[in-house]
Amino acid sequence: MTHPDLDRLTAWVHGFLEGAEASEVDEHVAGCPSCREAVQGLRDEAQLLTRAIAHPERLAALKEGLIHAASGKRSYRGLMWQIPVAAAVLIGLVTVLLSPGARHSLVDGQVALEDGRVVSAPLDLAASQSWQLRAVDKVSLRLSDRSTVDLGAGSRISLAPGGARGVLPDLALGEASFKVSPDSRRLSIVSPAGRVEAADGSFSVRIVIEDKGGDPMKNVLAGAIVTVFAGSVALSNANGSVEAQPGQSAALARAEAPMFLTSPQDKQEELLRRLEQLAARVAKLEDEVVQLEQKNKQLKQVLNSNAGPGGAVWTGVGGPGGAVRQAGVSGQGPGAPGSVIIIEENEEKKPERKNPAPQEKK
Amino acid sequence: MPVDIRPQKVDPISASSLTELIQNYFMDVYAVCFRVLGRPQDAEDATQETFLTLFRTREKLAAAQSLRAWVLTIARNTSISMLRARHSAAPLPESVADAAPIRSPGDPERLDRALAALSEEDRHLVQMRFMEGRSPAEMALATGRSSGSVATALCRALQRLRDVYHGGAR
Repeated sequence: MTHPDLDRLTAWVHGFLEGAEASEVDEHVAGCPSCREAVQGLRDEAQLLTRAIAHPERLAALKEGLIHAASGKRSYRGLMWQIPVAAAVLIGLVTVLLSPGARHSLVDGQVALEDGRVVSAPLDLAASQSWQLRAVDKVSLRLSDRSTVDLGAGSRISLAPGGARGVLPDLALGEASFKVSPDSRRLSIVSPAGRVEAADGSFSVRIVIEDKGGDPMKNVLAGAIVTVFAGSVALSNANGSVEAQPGQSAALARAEAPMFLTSPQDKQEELLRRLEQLAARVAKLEDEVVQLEQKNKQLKQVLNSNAGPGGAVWTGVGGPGGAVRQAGVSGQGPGAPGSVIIIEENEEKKPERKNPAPQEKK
Repeated sequence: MPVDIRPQKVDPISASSLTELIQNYFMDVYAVCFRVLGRPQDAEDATQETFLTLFRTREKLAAAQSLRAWVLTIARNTSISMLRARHSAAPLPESVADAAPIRSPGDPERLDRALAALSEEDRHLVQMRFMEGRSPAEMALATGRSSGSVATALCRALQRLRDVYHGGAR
């Protein structure tokens, strides 16, 4: 007998062949390793389909949630039955929707999936598989552990099964605010430069990309900045870990231990220090100006005594044949630190230019 | 999903009978939802919505001539309205000829898409065989066809399923 084709084997596997037809295939398969392999493939496929069409664990959880919703009334029987039933339905609904480990929900906004499809809220995503999501606009997600994530437009996050809470969010790009549902287990968030972990509280994670010459392909990843609003958040990577408290910001960077960023108070002090430095520099420059003016005066005196026909006549500001222009001293900031005195020479004199207070570059 | 939780002034159906309703019809409701919607996740949502609708309108449940017919009608209507509201799926990939059986463990997302791409009739066959485990004779009886014709139809349905599944990989 020639090899039965796939349809015939399929019909045989599922018991559609009878009598002589069936025994013919029986016999062939018994003696043909390649057909036995094909039959095994068909049986595996059947098992796979059975599980895919009716996912046993998910359906059991759904059924349980509904029964819970329906039976919630019992304990209140005889006492205003309407409200408990309504409440039970609502609680059941919430239980079903939020039952841990079942699914993530896209609550608001639009995301692009891995295959490029754009889907809108409301949408449930099975927590048993991995998802790669790109926020098309602002997006709110509820994870299977009931934590919520608000993503900024353009942010990329992937959700994989794993971690202590059964979900491992991985923020690859952009910014996300997390509100972690309280639990004894910590929710771990993976970022390109380390992990962020919290048992509760809220915080934001921003991925910082170091721009190398504006070519997006050459962008080098710098790290993540975590700002804590509530609760205690641990940042860790291979180089160390820190625990950030509300009001604190900390940075995760590759090849470096996590570090705290300066708090607003530190920033103020830093600014004051810089202002003091600037004021000192301005004072120094003013001294220099005074000194230069004196030098200028001396020079004028020398020139006046030596002045002959065709020579320059230096008479100071607005004087014949020359002018002294003075740029004002400004203490407004590091961009205007210097004062410049230019002596404009007359045509016949060889140019002489002085810049006694060299401009400092920032 | 707005839920009307206002109390209704009718004789209540007891909690035990609501529980019984779920116990008796859960898989039947899911089967109807799956047949219409194709995607297991959608079917789960529709199943949930169906039972919540049944809880809300339990006075009609008490008055229904045939409980099973009523429950399945609600399931079908719920699924159809969800199907209408559903965003159009991505265009189907090109078919490939003589696609091989889908190998374990399989890509759930592609499998979902392939199941959703089948016609309702194909899905009914796949569901009877793989979800309900019906025998060829039972399937023939349910569809009013000969066993041979059901076998051919099931093979065709599987072939289409594999086509879409494998096409999605290219």
